[in-house]
Amino acid sequence: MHPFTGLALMLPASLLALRLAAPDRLLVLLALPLFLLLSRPQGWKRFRQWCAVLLPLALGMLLVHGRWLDGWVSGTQEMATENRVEALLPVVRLWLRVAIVLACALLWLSTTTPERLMRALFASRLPAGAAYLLASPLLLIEQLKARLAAVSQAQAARGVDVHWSWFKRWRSLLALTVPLVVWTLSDVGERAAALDSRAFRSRARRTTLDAPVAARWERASMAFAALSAVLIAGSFIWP
Amino acid sequence: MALIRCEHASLTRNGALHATLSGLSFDITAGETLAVVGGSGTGKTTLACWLAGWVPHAMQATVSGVACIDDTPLAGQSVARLAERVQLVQASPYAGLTGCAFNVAAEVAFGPENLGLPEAEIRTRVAAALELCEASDLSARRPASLSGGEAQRVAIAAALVMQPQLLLLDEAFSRLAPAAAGRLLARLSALTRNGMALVLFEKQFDLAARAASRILLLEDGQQQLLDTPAAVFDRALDHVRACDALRAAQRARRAGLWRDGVLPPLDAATAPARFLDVLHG
Repeated sequence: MHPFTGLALMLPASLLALRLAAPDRLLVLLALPLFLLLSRPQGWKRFRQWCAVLLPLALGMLLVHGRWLDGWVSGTQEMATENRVEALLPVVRLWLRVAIVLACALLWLSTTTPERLMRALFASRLPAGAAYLLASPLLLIEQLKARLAAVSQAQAARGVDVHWSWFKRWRSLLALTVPLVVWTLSDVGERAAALDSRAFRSRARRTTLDAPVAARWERASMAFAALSAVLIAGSFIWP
Repeated sequence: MALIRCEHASLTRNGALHATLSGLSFDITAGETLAVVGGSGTGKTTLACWLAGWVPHAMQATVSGVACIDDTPLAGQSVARLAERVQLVQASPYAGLTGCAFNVAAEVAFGPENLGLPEAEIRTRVAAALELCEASDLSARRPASLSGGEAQRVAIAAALVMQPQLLLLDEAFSRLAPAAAGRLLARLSALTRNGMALVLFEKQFDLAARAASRILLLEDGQQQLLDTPAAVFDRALDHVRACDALRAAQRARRAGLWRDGVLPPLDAATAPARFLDVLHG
């Protein structure tokens, strides 16, 4: 699937999540991407990632907005059950919206790879500079990993044991992160020079090898997604 | 007509009190191989960056005198546009990686993609460049996972794939084994027959002398000599690295033990024959 197809379908789904107010409807909307996500290869792994973000978020929201934490810390009188349910309703709605957007994003990511997404960006009608800007977070991960490994090795050579416990290592966190950040920032000039040296943006048009091609049904899906997004956005203005 | 022409050219880096490079007068013609030799901090890398068009965009400096490419001043040219004709391979091969690729083949293809070449031509160029640099087996590897020597071969392939008129190699063989460096240099020298000019920035005299028809000796940023490798041999060896055979020859010449008319050896391979010439006439 072309990376932009999934991305385009994410837009109306996210807008719909914002548009719907009833928790039961939001729950139905959440079930769809979650079902599709679980049916994908490595779906359970991504579902666990979804849970790792959403469950602590739910717990935190429950404790703060349900006023339990407030009650435990200050010792104030407990809130009446009906009031608590009323206070939690907007929070549940917010959590469901976040859950839908994240599930849709994970579903989209399960249909593509960073390399295909980058190629799609470079092959799009976007200017090469803008495409690079959008793709740079994808590109940064690999470079940061390499840099982190180099910094870790350098720190290990100077006595920071990378096999220490987390508690011991957090004290060396500064020694690890400061060079990483400084190194990454100083890399910007070097990277710009490397891009210039390879004639980046020297011509108006560039070729992209193995550029993802959108099939006819995908182009139709993108058009449908754009239309749906406009209609849903319009419904905010004319409810 | 000279591809590169420098006349009394000087460069002063912003903030520096003295000129980093001065008194540069040389030219480079198509198909020529020139070696710029000098010790550490003599300005080789600065000169390489200058010739690659990095001044003043990527290297803030003021220049004086004449420094032209095809009779157009180097300073102020767009680095990206100039990259279509001039390619620089730096001593640190990782500095030349764009980070825009998830494998070596894509990294090498990035330059020709920017030129908007047809896909088939890009694939042909990439395969040829990787093969020439003995890096075909690395094509599926992640650029970040390459060792120093592997990255150096990939960096040279990424420059060659642009089919430049001028290839600048700034200590580009420093991480390769001597045999691999010699092999690669011989292949690059063969490309000069098609008109590509090659400039080697080296600390290793025998490597430079093996390929270059002329050697420019830099000392403290100043051009000291520009002549054939044999003519600069004695003085250059005071400042740069060389194999033991060449060092022995230099000492013999200094001690007056060298026979007149016998040229100094330029690399370890030719040294035994030269020593025999000295012994037997």
